[in-house]
Amino acid sequence: MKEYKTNLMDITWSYRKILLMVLLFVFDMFMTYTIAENIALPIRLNNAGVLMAACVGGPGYGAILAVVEIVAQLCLGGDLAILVQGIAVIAVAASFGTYVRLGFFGNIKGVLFGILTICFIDTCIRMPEYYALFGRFTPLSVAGAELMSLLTDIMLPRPFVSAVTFFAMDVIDKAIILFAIYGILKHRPQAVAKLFDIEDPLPECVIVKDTAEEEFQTEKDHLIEKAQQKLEKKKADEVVENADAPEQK
Amino acid sequence: MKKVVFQKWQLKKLIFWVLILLILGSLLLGYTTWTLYTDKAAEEDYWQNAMLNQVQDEAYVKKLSKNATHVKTGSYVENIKQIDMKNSSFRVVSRVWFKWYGDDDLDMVNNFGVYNGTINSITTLADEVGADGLHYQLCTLDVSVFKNFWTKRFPLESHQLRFYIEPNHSIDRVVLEVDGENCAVNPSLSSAGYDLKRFDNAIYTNEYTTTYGEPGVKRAAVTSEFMTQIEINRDSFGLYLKCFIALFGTSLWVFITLFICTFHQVDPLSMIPAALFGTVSNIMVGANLLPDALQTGLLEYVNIWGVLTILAGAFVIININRVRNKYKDNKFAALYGRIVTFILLFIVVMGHILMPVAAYMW
Repeated sequence: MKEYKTNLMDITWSYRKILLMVLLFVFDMFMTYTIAENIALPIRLNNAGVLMAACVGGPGYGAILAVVEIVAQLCLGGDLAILVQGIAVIAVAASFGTYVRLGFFGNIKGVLFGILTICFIDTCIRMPEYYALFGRFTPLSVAGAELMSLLTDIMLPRPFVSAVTFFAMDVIDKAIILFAIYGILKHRPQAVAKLFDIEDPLPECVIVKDTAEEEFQTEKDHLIEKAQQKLEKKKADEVVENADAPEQK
Repeated sequence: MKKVVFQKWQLKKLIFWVLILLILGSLLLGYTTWTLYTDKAAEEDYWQNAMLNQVQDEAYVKKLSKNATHVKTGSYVENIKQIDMKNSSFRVVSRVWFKWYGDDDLDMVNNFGVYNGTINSITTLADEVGADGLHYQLCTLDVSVFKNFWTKRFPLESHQLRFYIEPNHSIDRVVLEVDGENCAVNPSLSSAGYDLKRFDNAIYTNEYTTTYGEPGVKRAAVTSEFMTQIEINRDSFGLYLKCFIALFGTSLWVFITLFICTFHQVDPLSMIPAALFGTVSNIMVGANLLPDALQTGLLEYVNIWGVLTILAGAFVIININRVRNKYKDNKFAALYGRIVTFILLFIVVMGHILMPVAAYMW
């Protein structure tokens, strides 16, 4: 039987990709020690770099950046909470990278669904971590603390309150990040894409009914691609002809 | 633009299994870690509560003890000879002393008992009266105390061992006081598998709930008791490993079968029952060390986690086989297998790290 490769974890390394990783690392570090420290805000944005990396380089690339960031933060005097959050960030990066590679992040609907999916995964992973280490989640932002006390007042169970508060805070944070990533990648200048080896636009998922429709879709895409190549070749030929014409005159 | 084509059934299967694993995994793990942590955190309250001397009717007790002899009492815990969780008792050897002025007839060392305890031996080491009239009595006490051990966090649990020294005289004759300066615990005190965490002493005023039908007595006796409490904690993860090493082995085996099914298209379903049997029977290792009426806790949680790991692994293999055989779709089987296998692996490993972390008193 033929062995199939999913290519989900593939990473194409180049010095440009490493440069991009360094820039995203610097961005995340800056956010961690500036915005994220500001407890009045319900947003942290300190995982934006990791999620961007997972989006453009795949789950493996994002997860590697997450590991580098955890190590850096631990070296800079981080505590146990850094490690706890770090494990969740690795998992979220891998999940988001997979989500993008499977084509779910190709349109606005996918972005909205992606925000909920990523926050749900983040909550599922972080809550047991918080319960095991601290007994509950303690929000750093004022808005988070307000929401938590509101939910506690209506006598909801404490673990449920922690989970809902975390999810709500996470949705705000991730919504900003994912919309920003989507906007940047959709409207990225060619020069920037070339500089960081960002090759393809975001893949898009197509849902079909059965195998016949899938084959039809594949054939259709193949023909469209072929036609586009022909058109591009024709255009290129015309440009060459137009360039030669004045000389002939 | 690159397109990724999914058939509806593929998407449904993928989303359903990812959601099931995430929801069930996080709910179960959230519940277990929270209950284990809460149980651990409650130890501090128990400790502090035992230190409080809550007297219901303070005025009555004060009135009773107005003319009582105040006896300074102290203890030095030498050794914990035995901790028998299965039979709900522990045996402790300690030195106990009493100091008081006045009341020459009082003989404390031969007139006390241990609440819920059986005194195995008691040896008087000193019985003297000082030039200033200070009575001093010292004895070695070897006592077995009944205790219902709290085993929710077993085999990573901690225990608070308490024994109450209760004089045979009621509070109108003897009021105990803590000789705090001299109370101590042997610094090299150890019991197999445990380390000493802390100790303390306090006085507890106990009002009995019955007069034992004594004629002419309207209110039950009140006594002043001297309490010694010690907290011990598991010194390592040795017993934990002993209890679960077979479970870890079988879980690892399931993941090997999952990987060969996903990556090499081998059907390993027939290998699963043996692993399941190994995991289910593994609980007996820990259960044999505990009372028969087993308290639900870490021991069960880890075993349930192991059984669910094997069941989840079996379901994933069944699904991969079904995709390959019914739909003849090896490409999707590879994608589905890889995604679900990695999610399952992550959740299972996370559980095996977080549960002991939540239970152990660091």
